[in-house]
Amino acid sequence: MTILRPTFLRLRAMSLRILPGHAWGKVRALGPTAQGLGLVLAVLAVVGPVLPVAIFVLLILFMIYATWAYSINLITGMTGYVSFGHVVFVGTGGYALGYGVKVWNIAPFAGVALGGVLGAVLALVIGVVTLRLRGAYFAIATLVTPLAAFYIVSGTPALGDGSGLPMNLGFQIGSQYYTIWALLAAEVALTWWVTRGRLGLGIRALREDEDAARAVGISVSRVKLILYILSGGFAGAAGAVFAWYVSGVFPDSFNLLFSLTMLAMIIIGGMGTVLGPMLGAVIVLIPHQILIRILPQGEPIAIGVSVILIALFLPGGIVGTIRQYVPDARRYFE
Amino acid sequence: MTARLAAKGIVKRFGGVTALDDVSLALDQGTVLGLIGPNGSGKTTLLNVLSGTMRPTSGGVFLDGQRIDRLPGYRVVRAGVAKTHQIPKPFPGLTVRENVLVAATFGGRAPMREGADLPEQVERILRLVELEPRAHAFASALTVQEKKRLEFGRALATGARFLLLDETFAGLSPDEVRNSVEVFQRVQAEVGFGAVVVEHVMRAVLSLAQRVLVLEEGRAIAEGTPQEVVRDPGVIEAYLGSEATNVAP
Repeated sequence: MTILRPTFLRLRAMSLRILPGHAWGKVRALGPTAQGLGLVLAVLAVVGPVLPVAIFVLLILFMIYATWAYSINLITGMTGYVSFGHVVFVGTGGYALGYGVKVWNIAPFAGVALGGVLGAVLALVIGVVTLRLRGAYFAIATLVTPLAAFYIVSGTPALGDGSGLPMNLGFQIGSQYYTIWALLAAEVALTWWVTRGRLGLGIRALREDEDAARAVGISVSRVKLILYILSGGFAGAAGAVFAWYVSGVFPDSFNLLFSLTMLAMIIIGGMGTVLGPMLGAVIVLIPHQILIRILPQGEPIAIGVSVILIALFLPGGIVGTIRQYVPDARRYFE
Repeated sequence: MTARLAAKGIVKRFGGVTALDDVSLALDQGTVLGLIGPNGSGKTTLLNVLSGTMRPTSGGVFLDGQRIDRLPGYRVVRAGVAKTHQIPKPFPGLTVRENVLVAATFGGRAPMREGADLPEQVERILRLVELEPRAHAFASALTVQEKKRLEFGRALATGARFLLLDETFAGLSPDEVRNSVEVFQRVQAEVGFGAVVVEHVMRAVLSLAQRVLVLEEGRAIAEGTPQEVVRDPGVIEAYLGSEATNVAP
């Protein structure tokens, strides 16, 4: 932390000149994690267009992954309910955009919005039924949903039967970049907000013991459902951006490996934290980029092994472990 | 006007088993009703019905005349009826103070309100249940007795006018029971809540309760003052047996 501090101070001095006094006071009150994430997002927004295209394109993928990580964090990280079938929202969002663009000729932006809405609605439907189940039962119940979705889209002519919906939208990386940036920024802000204050305390209590939370007046079912709906909405919207990014959507969008990747990102980064999903996305995506070139089959193995190692030796993920062993650094890692 | 908690004609069936058969009770705020009976007589089921954890098959629960048995559990708490668990369920990863704060924040009529009195209220509860020195400890680090007091404090912090205490004194040593009874009586005198106390520790229930309801196989077989109840031949036969000679004054 001592290495980081001078940088913080210098940035602080810079910001003092940019922002009026009272606004700077508010920024300072946010704390280091929110400031750091805000800074990362600001840098991404500003420097994106001047970067080489190869890196720019990679950053889009990174932000899609990060949006998925924050999405699963909203339900699994916050409440402890392992959303094993989370990829169902990704695929649904992708198909929403694909169908909207191909059949209704809507703009990709509108497709992303549609993907988000459908993801949220689907989460509402699945959540009303499955959030009554606890622990492994919830995980298994949600696990079934992408499998069902896979067979549904594979057998629906309007959705391209088994061959999916390829699109020809051209090279719209600028729009993709800022769309996913806005989604990610909104989601990070939301995550930060729900971990704060009274609501954050209530959510922590719910994660610790659901029955006791209900016994002190927390509307447990409603809180879980709202988090799940938000989670499904963001996963759907990011899934739509992904379909836009790869110019098509295919039944393989419901591949469970995506669910595992999302879970891996928050397990590695730190579940239920504000910073963890971002770190997890970076850590999962870098080997992904390397392995996909040299050993594509190696990725599930690499993810599996690293999740097992983290779960065994660093159960709090990166953020949780640092908080536990370096109490002084606690305020930097929320 | 003092508040009143009443249950009328409660029947609860689980499949073919009738756990509660036409049980009624009523108590005013500020009074303690003891609920006793052999194992499996329906005491815990009755508490679960009163707390909104279970819905009765028929009959109703009323708080100040308002029906509460159709409300979800958290709404019953906010209306003013809070339950403590037989095995304490603190939030282990939260500190003692945070445990109480959660209850004070969400348990009231206006949850998540920005009340400036909230921290004061939390301190008051911690003082009442004698957990002030442990305020910053994680709840997982507490002893059994402390966990029970935290459970009690958390129910108090919801601002409930009626507490439902499920075997609060079970599993404690005689000294701890005496101490906990003292704490309970002192807090009750100060806060003035009403309570339904399910208890196996006879001395505790007889010294706390103004009235006692005796259940056997889901039916209320006797109700009265502790003195009346322990002399009731039916009760002696059903439940107290030879112990009655020890506790009767």
